[in-house]
Amino acid sequence: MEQDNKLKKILLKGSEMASVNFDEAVMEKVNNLLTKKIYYQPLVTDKMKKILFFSFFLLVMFILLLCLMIGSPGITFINQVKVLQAPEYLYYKIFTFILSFWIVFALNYFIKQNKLQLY
Amino acid sequence: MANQNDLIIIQKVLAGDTNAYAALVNNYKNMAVALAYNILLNREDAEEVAQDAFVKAYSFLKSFKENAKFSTWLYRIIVNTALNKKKIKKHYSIELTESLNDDLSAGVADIMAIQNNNDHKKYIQLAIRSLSYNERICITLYYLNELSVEEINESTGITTSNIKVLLFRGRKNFYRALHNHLKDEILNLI
Repeated sequence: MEQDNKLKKILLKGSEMASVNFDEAVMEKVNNLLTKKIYYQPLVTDKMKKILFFSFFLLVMFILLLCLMIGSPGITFINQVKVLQAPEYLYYKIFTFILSFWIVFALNYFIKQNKLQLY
Repeated sequence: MANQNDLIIIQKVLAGDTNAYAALVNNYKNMAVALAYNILLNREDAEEVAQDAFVKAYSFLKSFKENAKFSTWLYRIIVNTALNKKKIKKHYSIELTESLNDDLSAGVADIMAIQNNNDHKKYIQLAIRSLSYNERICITLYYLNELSVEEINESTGITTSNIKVLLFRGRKNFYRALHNHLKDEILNLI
């Protein structure tokens, strides 16, 4: 223990201390942080976002259409697809998943938009 | 267990009193700079890293757990920030301070020519430089920042058994280096 104290004393003698204006520099940085507006770099560009949005919309429409067409027995192509015997609940699950994903995605998007305005 | 004064200050800051944070900065600034210096071995970088660590700590103060010690948490931020700085610097420049023994003898000769014999600070810093990177961190955190072995493990990720070995070895190497530079003068230091 005594040895520990001795070593501490030696290390203290050799240690660098903070400069005189250290506190002010830190507080200035902290205050800058508070006043500075925070802008987030978007992960995708606006154009890309539109393309993604449009393709996703198309995909949703396609699946929706597919779901509706499966119900009609008149279309021969659909009858062929039906041979695969995919259970109906699977389509229902896919449909619900996409629908809920969209709802959560839209909600998240609008909440984030509102939050960003707070800064 | 968290320091009660620190907790009160943290609660004030979280309640919106930003200026209260200055008290925390004032309490830990010297230890923060000392720790950063012993990792980076450069005065300016140490000051910058310590300042950045305080700003980071402020930014993430909401995530600070009240049952933890602010100092341990801050030192962890300093170690990580210093490590990043060291990595960046290593990437862009050749580190001159790491070649130990040769530099030590040259450094002592230079310092002796410039400074008088009463200035022990540089000799102690040279002895610190003679330690390995992990030895330096462990010695500083344990003796200077007064962290326990478990807290050092928390801050650095080095295993407790390894910390004990590093402390033992670091202590031995530090005294040996100091003795080489100061000979009998070492007794005046203690």
